[in-house]
Amino acid sequence: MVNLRHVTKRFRAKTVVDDLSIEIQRGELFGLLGPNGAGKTTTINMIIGGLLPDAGTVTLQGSGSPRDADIKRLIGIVPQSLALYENLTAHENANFFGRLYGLHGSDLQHNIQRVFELVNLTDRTKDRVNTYSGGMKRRLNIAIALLHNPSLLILDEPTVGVDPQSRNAIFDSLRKLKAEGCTILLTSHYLEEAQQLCDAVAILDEGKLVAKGTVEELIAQHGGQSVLTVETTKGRSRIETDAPVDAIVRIHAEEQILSLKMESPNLEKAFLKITGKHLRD
Amino acid sequence: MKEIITLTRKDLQLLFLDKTSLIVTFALPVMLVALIGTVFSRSFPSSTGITSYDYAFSKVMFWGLIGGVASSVASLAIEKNSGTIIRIQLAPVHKVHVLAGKALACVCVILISSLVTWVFASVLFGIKTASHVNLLLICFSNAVFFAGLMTFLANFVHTERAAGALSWSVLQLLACFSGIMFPITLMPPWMSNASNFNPVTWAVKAMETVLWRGGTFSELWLPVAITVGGGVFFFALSAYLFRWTTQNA
Repeated sequence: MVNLRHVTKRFRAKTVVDDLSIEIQRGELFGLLGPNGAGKTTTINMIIGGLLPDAGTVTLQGSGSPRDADIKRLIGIVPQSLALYENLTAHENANFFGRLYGLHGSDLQHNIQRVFELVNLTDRTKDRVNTYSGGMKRRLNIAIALLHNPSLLILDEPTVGVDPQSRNAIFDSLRKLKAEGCTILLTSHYLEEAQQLCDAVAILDEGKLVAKGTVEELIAQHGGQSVLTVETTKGRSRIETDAPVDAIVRIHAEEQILSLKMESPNLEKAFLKITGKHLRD
Repeated sequence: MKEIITLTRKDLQLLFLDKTSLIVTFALPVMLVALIGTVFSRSFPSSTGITSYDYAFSKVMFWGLIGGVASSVASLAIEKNSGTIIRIQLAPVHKVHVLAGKALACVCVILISSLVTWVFASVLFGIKTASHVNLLLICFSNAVFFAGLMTFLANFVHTERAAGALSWSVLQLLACFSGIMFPITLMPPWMSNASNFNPVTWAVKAMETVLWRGGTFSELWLPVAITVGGGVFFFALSAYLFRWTTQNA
């Protein structure tokens, strides 16, 4: 669906994206991860055709250029900054952006109803956006991007500043879209969110691709071992192991377990091992 | 064309929801006509055939339009620097559609502002014209000029405050060289000559002609051509200069 081959982008002397090659399969939920300044937003801007790479190629749907009108229609964008008119109602915003995509009449109204249902906003569509909570605005931001039924949805930090309830609503919407066959590319600061949602991820650091693969592969390769903290009648111990269940069974056979805590390998640990820093550094 | 109408409707909708813009665009011109007409009320004996309010209207109307132009410049500048521009850029619309939508909204605002001012001024101060059709033509040609100028100015600002400052500065400078601030007959020769290259001079002349004498086509075609031509020139220049704003992080 999306193919970046040896893409490089510079702003004056600074190389923001350096020889990046990634491929996103149709129907995949792909995460682009990295700290601030890693080049995620620049990469997205190149995918949507807002920026041209200085070297390399970006193609969509086989060989299409992101700047082709037919290709542009396939993309829905959820920018990091809210792309909404706050003085208009949610319905007026949807009407405006839908019409820009050539939707009119019952088709437009049907699509508006569908996307508002998807993000669970049907009861506040006549209210002005400036009366919405941060989480509702984020959900509306997503809804507007879906009006024209894009087959590729790009979300740039869609859950920044969102309360847990809205975050879960956004996750549910993304899972539904994926189930409907939509290809999704998202950037995120939250590794646990990427781990929950994504089929595959690419990790960028200072413009360079430092790792890519499925979430399971990255965790298996770089996530380290499970850590068991066990308290028994003989005292407390910390055990690092690849087979935590076996270890628990063994301890249980020898002593009485009073409490048990297990930390599984995760994407956060994998990220720390790969980049040497926490994502929020 | 549908895209342009959609963009125009949205801009007008946003303008009518903004109380400050409404006051600056529609109430200010009426207040200025009343104030300046009152100041000059003793300077126009009835034998001249025109009243002080006729005189004030032909000139002050332009000060009133500055509010509409400034809010339109701000609208375009803000749009270019907000998240909405990314969506619009990705939609199947050309940059000329975006500019044309903004320009058409500006034309509508100026025409409505002119109409509101005219209705109030004619009801309250008895301002008349021999030809309403010619008055409408002049209002339209002036609106085209200011809309074109608005799209051009919007290329150089990024914030609402800068948009207001630039609009007022440029339009005041144009007003200085047009006979709005002081009569052209009082200007030194170089300034008087320079005023001929200012479309606002022709806009004022045309408005005076229509208000004071009704005007004929032969009197009006040149000012109309200059103002419309100026508007189209500035629009074309801004279409050339326009760049989609993109984030670089």
